Amino acid sequence: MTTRQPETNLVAMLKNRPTEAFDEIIEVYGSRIYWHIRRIVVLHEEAEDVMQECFVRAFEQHRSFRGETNGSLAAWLYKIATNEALKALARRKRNIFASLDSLGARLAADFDSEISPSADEIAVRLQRAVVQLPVKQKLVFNLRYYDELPFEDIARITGMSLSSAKTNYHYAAQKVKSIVTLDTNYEYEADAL
Amino acid sequence: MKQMPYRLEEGALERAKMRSRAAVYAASQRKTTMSPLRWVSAFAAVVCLVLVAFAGYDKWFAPTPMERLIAEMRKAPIEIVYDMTLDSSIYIEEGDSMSDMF
Repeated sequence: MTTRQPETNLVAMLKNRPTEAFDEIIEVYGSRIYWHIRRIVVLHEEAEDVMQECFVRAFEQHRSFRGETNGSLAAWLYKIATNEALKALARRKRNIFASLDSLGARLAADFDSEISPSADEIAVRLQRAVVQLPVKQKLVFNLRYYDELPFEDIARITGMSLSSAKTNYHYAAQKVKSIVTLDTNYEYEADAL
Repeated sequence: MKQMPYRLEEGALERAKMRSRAAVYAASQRKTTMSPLRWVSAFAAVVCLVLVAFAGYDKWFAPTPMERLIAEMRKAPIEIVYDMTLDSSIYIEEGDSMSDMF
């Protein structure tokens, strides 16, 4: 088994041996990126396509990666993954003028068909609430709650200001909490948000 | 990592990673140089753009009738301009209406 490279080594490797570096990058960040995409597009097949597109796009643009301006390598990959996932969502819209937020009900229906039989009911309820959030709030909530990223990285990934990212998280958490606590039995989990 | 309630087959994530690796490898082998046909079409596009720019420039900056008149007057010999000024002062001095000037 090979030992995992720390991010600084990966960035250095990216400059000299990009193809090998990407093997390692996919190994290290693949799962996180997959789940980030899956939480946006919901369907596994689509998440797999978007993940592939994301890494190809990252490979094509790796020369433009600057640690100082793009933040961490993870944040850079998250940003590309987010853009690709939103593009995939936009392709699903029936009306080109409709907002991505109008897909909430459809995503919730897709989510119901994708629930794992062994999934915890609270996690299901929470995720069903999250997929219905407006896009900006959903992105911020996912990156903060599930990926536990700092707000600085979230702002960079989503292209928002720091205060806007915090505000969106606040509203998202409130909405999720109100949906989850409709059934008072789930108050305990909602308080953790 | 927090629990994800999504259905995911055994090994599906590893397969997705393998697919991404293969796609990255394919992208690394892809030639990025432009084919001759693309070079020719790019050159033709640039030529068209330059021609359109020239035509547009001429049309856009063509002088208005008033500007043409002023330019002609500037180029005219001083005697003619002087005579014209003299004519108008005569009319003004005689107190005729402006319509007499035309």
